[in-house]
Amino acid sequence: MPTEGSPVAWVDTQAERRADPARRFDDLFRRLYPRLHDLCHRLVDATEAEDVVQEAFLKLVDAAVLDRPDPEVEAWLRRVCVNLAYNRLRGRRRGQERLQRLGRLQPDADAGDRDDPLGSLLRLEQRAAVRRALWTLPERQRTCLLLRHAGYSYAEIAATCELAIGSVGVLLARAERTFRDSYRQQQGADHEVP
Amino acid sequence: MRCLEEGELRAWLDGEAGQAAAGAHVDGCAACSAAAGALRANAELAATATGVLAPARPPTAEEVEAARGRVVAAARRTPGVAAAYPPTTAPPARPQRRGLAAALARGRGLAAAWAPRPAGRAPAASARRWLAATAALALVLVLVATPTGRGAASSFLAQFRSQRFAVVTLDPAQAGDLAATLQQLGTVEGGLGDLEPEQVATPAAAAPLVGFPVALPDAAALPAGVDTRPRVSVTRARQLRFTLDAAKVRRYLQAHGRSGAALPPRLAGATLVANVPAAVLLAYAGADGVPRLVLGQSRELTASVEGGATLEQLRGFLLGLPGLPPQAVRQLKAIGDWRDTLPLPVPADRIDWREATIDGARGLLLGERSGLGSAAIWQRDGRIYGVAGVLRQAQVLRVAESLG
Repeated sequence: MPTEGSPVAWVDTQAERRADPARRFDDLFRRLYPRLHDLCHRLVDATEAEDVVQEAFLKLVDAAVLDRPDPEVEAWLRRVCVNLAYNRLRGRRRGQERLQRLGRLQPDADAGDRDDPLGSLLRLEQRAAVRRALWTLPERQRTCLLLRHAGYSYAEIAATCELAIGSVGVLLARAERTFRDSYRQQQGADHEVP
Repeated sequence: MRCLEEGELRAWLDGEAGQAAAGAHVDGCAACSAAAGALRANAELAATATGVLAPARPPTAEEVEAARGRVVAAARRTPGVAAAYPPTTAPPARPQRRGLAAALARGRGLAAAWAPRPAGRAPAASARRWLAATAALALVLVLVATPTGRGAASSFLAQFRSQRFAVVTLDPAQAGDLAATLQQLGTVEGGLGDLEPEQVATPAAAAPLVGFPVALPDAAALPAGVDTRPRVSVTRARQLRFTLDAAKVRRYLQAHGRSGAALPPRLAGATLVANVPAAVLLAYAGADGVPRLVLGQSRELTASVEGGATLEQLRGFLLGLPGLPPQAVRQLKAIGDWRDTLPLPVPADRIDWREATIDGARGLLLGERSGLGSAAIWQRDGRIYGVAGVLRQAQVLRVAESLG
């Protein structure tokens, strides 16, 4: 039986191939949501990370890929999540500039920890520096680096970025070198005495 | 063996290459060993640095379920997708209003009273419907927010008195469904549909009408550019009564395939009485006259049962009914301190929230996902306070804290 409340509770004409698509969707959601949330959280803020993962699953509901084996669905979800997050980052940059012009929004949208304002501020600044450094990387390198350090295997990274598996190490090595240089530059700039 | 390419070395460091042969070569090759060391240092730096971007904790099982529920709700509203579902899973389209106040008003009784409305304009018919639905929703939520497993002596008169809040995520479309369900089970008297705030001249003039002195925020805490003299209005106290009707319940159960079931005799004629307190609203407008910040204050909300039944018995009956949104019912069951926790229905697709200490009391901070609107609600010393506006959470908190 479909899980209660599932969005794919329809009578599936392909039921013979995929015995219970509703349960499969729910299982995929429960199994993959935490890791996808972790991945998206590295790109956007906490609230947007939730939105991005949920939007990706919403796209999955009527996507043809839902009929494919799990590894293909997982790669598809990762790819959609990363693309949605990048789109939001680009949109947010434009939106923040517009809103700041209107005087309606202050630049930093991340909520801090009121119990530890200094620690919160330092973490915010540290995250901002890391994101600035990441943004200097070419998009595919950046995605490789983020996926790897979010714990994905080379096979999963290759499937997500639609690369040959042999290219993952090459891209990762380049990405980490560029990141190192850019990150150190950021830190150096942060610690310069005026 | 030849020297390894950079990509091969990087893969070897991650255990993704032919380990034995590569390892033997790197151990004996100074150039590859040095290159591997540099790559390892870069990888470790990237791991440490990007580690700060990871969430502080993984989502809990409850959060994952709530997220799944939001996707379910959104899927059902998506044209094309919804068409693929059985008719019963696709809720009818509802009138939509935009904005934080509207979103809150759709889901929350007190927020409906606190939602700013342009002066001199009667609410539209759709807004009236929403207000009526919200009133009924508040009633049913108070009803079903009672816990399992608490035995009650037959002489015990169950009471509810709001002290704190708990969020119940709700598909906005379900609010109307719940209200309709209530009408199918009994008789609803009273409501918030005709709740027109009365304008008064000053906060001091509002005090005798609401029965308590009105707290004012520090002018310094108000957002820049707003008029520091608020428009003051008052909504009067009112009572909502919901009485179960045995014949209606029987028809409802039959319609949901439970022909053999009936209303337990002790619940026949039982009436839930919810006392919605008077509230004062302070609306601070910007230069364009549009409210940027609304501050509401009221006494606590109370509820009791008249007749031979208890809240526990009403709850047990209602939670067993078919046709209620299972996700909302699950969340209501999870509320432990039911006698003093007011469930706050929140549209799952638009609003984020977190618990916070506000003005020295536990409360909820809510934010519209666009980032433009925020709200806070808390209760202290027998009063419910709410602040909402086109503001960031920090600004809302600043206003809230200045009330102390």
